[in-house]
Amino acid sequence: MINALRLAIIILPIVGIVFFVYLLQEDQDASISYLDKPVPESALITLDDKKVTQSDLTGTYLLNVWASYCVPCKVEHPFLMDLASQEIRIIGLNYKDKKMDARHWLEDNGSPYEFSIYDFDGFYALDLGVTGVPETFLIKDGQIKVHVVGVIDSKKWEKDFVPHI
Amino acid sequence: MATILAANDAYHFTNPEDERRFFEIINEIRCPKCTGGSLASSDAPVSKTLKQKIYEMVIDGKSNMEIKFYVKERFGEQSDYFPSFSNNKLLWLMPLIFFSLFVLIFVLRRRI
Repeated sequence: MINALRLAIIILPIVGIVFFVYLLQEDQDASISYLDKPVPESALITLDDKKVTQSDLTGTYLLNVWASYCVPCKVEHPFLMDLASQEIRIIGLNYKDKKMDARHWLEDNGSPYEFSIYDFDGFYALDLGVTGVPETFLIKDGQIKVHVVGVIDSKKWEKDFVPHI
Repeated sequence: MATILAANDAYHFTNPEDERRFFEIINEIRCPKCTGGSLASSDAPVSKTLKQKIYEMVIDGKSNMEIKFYVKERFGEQSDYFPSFSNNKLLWLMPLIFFSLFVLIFVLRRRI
């Protein structure tokens, strides 16, 4: 009997630890859940007031969520310029911004984007599971393959994006 | 119209049942940006958009399940304060398992 009690005293904390480790892992996996799904379809316009057609969104490209008021986007910007110079297609998704502010930002800092989708009310971004700026997606043949929240740099690029390209 | 409502952050319902449902849902969903609070309590930009989306879905007659599916598909299972049993068996059963173990220990002790 005492042995059984001793066993229970040992096993209980182990069960507890396993449970919490399981919970912690769950949370990490669940933070980004909209993957391997098609890019939502919507009537979109660019920052330059042009219509975005379905053929503009084919193939493999990065979709980078940005805004002129976003300080981390400025931190990320040189790296995106670097990627663009290596002929990596980047499409911008300008999020909840003022059109003129966004245009000026690109004029002042340079644009790594093929074009930027203008999402004034943030509904298109919401459909993609965006929670803020900056965030970056890898889209391949109309499917969302990678979704990274926050600034991307060469480390994240190698780790999260390169294996999927 | 939708954008004007979003800007004023006011939700107008013609049907009291829709209104009840809307507030029930936003209280049962976690804010995607600030995991410590409910969507109803959050004023983060993404929360405003998500509340507006839920408002429109309620008006469109979408069921609570459809609305929660939309949210969970994008912001994860943990965005629902009432996680489903089928996907979270361990989570739901753990208190029962712990309780049984404690009872077991108690009974064993009494017998010693």
